[in-house]
Parts: sequence; structure tokens; C-alpha cells
Amino acid sequence: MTRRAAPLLILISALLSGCISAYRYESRGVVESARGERRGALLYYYEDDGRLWYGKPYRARDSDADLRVCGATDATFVPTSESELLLALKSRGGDERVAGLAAEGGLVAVSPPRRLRPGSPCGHLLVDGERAGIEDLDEGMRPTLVILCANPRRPDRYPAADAYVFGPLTRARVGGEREPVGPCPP
Amino acid sequence: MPIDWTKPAEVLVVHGVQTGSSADVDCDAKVRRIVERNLASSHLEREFGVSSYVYEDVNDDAVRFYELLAQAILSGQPLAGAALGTAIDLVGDVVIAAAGGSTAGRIREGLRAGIMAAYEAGRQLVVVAHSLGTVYALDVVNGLIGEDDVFVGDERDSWPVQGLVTMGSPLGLEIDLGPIEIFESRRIETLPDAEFEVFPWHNYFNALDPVVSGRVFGAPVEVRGSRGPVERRYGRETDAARWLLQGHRITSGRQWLLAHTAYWKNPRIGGKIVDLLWG
Repeated sequence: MTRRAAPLLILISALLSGCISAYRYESRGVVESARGERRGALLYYYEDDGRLWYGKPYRARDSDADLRVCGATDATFVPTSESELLLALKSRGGDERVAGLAAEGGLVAVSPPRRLRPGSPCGHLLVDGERAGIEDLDEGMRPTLVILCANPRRPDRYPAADAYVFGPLTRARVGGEREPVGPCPP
Repeated sequence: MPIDWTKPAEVLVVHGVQTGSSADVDCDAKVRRIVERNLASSHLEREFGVSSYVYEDVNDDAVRFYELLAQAILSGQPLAGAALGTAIDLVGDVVIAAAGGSTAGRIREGLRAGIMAAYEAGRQLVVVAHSLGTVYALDVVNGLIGEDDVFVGDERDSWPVQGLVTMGSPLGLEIDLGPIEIFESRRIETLPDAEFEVFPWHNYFNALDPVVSGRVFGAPVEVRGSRGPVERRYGRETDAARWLLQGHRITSGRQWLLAHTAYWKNPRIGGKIVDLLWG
């Protein structure tokens, strides 16, 4: 019974999933690193739209959007002369830490790390000058990505603090392939 | 043995329950694919390895649990009957009550050995776990953090695991059946000697995934922002223990059991692994 049940469950599940379609939202832009390098960037997230198997309308989006920057992950620490500046750094774990620059150029943490919560001040999306969440975005809108965190430890990894206007959001139905085209220009 | 950041990174994948034997488990290939595609489309080259912690042959009891659950669903009596009762007995044995010599204990010991082998080779490691595998992964990583002289909080190169990625996890389920608590809440160990570091745990979930919601017929679970059942259950405790638990609600165009198996193809999870290893 149970050996036969597994394929049957998969078949039922496949039929039910036909009621919902997946869509990918994408917006392309160019960001600048702290070194002044301009790089292609991509904002993207997914959405489910359709009906649950028992007929109830269902629409849900990912809770957050991913930003990908072309050719960027290398970490290089470049001390600056702004020794009095406090820096908010987004770490690899996704937390935010506040640090100062010591006289010899090293980083000195000045407070415990904080969790970057949705809406926390490292990065914002704006539409028409107003703060926007994923739920506020729609096809054709041109989101502005505002980066408020400096990151001198990884000057080519994250966009420099600035406001970047991205291109119009596109919405495309996702077939078998979920991977977006990368952030690099063709 | 500190991590040598110049060595190729390692991803250790802990699967959930699948049908078949250990030879059939191919989740490492799926994870390799989403990481490779993320790197390639960003014009990046990085060296890494992906291995799978395979316990399917050890875990007959756990497989039996899911088979019985399926049987219960198909019988039209998912909340009653001998099949579900037996299933609950089994999951209690496998996931909760099992100690050192039990099936679950052997699985945890093997996973710990796999993690420490990568560490002793000096390779940075991210653990990626799915479904029931998230329970074992959390238990083992949490246990390592609680051991003396393993994790030194502010020294990342002392960490055997650099981050935990879970997907489709039942860890948020709070199901009591008489005296048995299925997936009982774990006590989260505090990252020792950590003034400035936090241990990253990224949890990906689909609201339509019945293993996440505990709703056998796949009704969506309540989500607030990025907080699902796991975040609601463990958010406060992980904050206090200096873990960074970040929930990510994702969608897949799938519902019910296919929502539970769609995580393996999600490019956003590949991106997070890349970020944890090289970001």
C-alpha cells in the first residue's frame, strides 16, 4: 500500500499545483561600489497567484527581494581617513554592526551587532519618493534602492551609500526554470 | 584548528525523509546546481565542495513515519486511526526521545562527525538542511555551540559551522498528543564569548508547505512579514542566545507536498549560500 501511495500522492499534488502559477518580478539597474566601479544589478522576487486546490483565491509574495550585483563578492579592507566616522556594516551573516576606524586603520566595534529587520535602515526601496515594501510594488513601477550603510571592508561587494533608480519592474510567468538571468549586462 | 579561508568552502546537505535507499539521495547535486548557477550568472568563480550527510539506511523508522502519514491521508482519516497513532509513536522515537544509542542519536553522531571532519580539514562550512533534516541539523549545531571550546564566539575562524540554512522545516510545529510533544522546543545554546558576533540561521519556508504549517490539507499558515512558525517559536530565544534567526517566506508556484520539495530549485537559496560563504 505505502509503496503505491507515494506516486499517487505525487500525482495528486502535481494536479493540485496546477491551480497556482509562479511569477518572477525583476528590476534592473546599475549600482556603484565604494571604489567607484559601476556594476549591473538585479532586484528580484517571486509571487504565487491562483487558487488553492479547494478554490480559494491565493496570492502571496516572497517576504523580501534579493539584490544581486554583477561580479561582486570579494572582500578587501580599505581603511579611510575618516577616523571619526561610525560605520554601519552589513556582515556576511546578515546582521548589522557599528564600528569605528582606529588610528592605525583597523576596525573597532563600538556596539553589539543588531539584527537587520525588514525596514531597518541599511537599505530601503522607494516608489515615487515613498517607502515601499514588497507588497506595495507592482509591474511597471521604477523602484529606487536607497543604501544607507557604508561598508569599507567590502568596497566592491555592496553598493555605496546612495540612491539608485532601477528600471521598470517586469512580471513574467515562471516555467520550469526559476533562475533569473544574472545581474550582469548581456 | 582554525578555518583556512583560502581553502575551498564546503556545503554539507542534510536531507529530509525520502523514499529509497542512501544511493537515491541526490540533494547534494541539487544544492551544487543552485550555487553554481548563482555564481556563473554573476560572473564569479569560487571553489567549493558539496557533500550530503546520508542517513537513509539508518533511518528506516523515520521513513516509516512518513509512509504511515501518507497512508493516513489517503484513508480519509488523517487525524485518527492506527496509522497516525503508530506514526506518532515513531516520530517520538526518532526525533524526540531517542538518546545516544537510538536511531536519532546515531544520526546526530554521524552528522557531528561530518561537520568536524570538514573543520579539521580547515574548510569553512555551511550546513543546509531540509524537512526532518532541519531537526537533526539544529540539534547538532546547537550541541556544538553548547560544547566547551568549540565555538569561540568572536573568533569566526574557530566556528566549525559558519551558518545554518533550513528549508521546509517542521521545527515550528507545536503538536501535543497527550503526553507526547511532537518536535518539542529545543533550548537554544548561547554563542559563547560573543560580544560582536551572532550565529546566522536563515530559515526558508513556504506558507503552503504542510510540513511547515502542520495542516495536512495544505491550508496556508499565518505569516507576518518574514515570520513564520519557526521564527515565532524560536525568535526571542535565538535573539537572547546571540543567534541571528532570519525567516524568509518564499513562493514556488506549488502547493501541498510539491511546495515541500520545491526549495531545492529556488535560486534565492543558492544566493544565500553564496553570501554566507563569500559575502
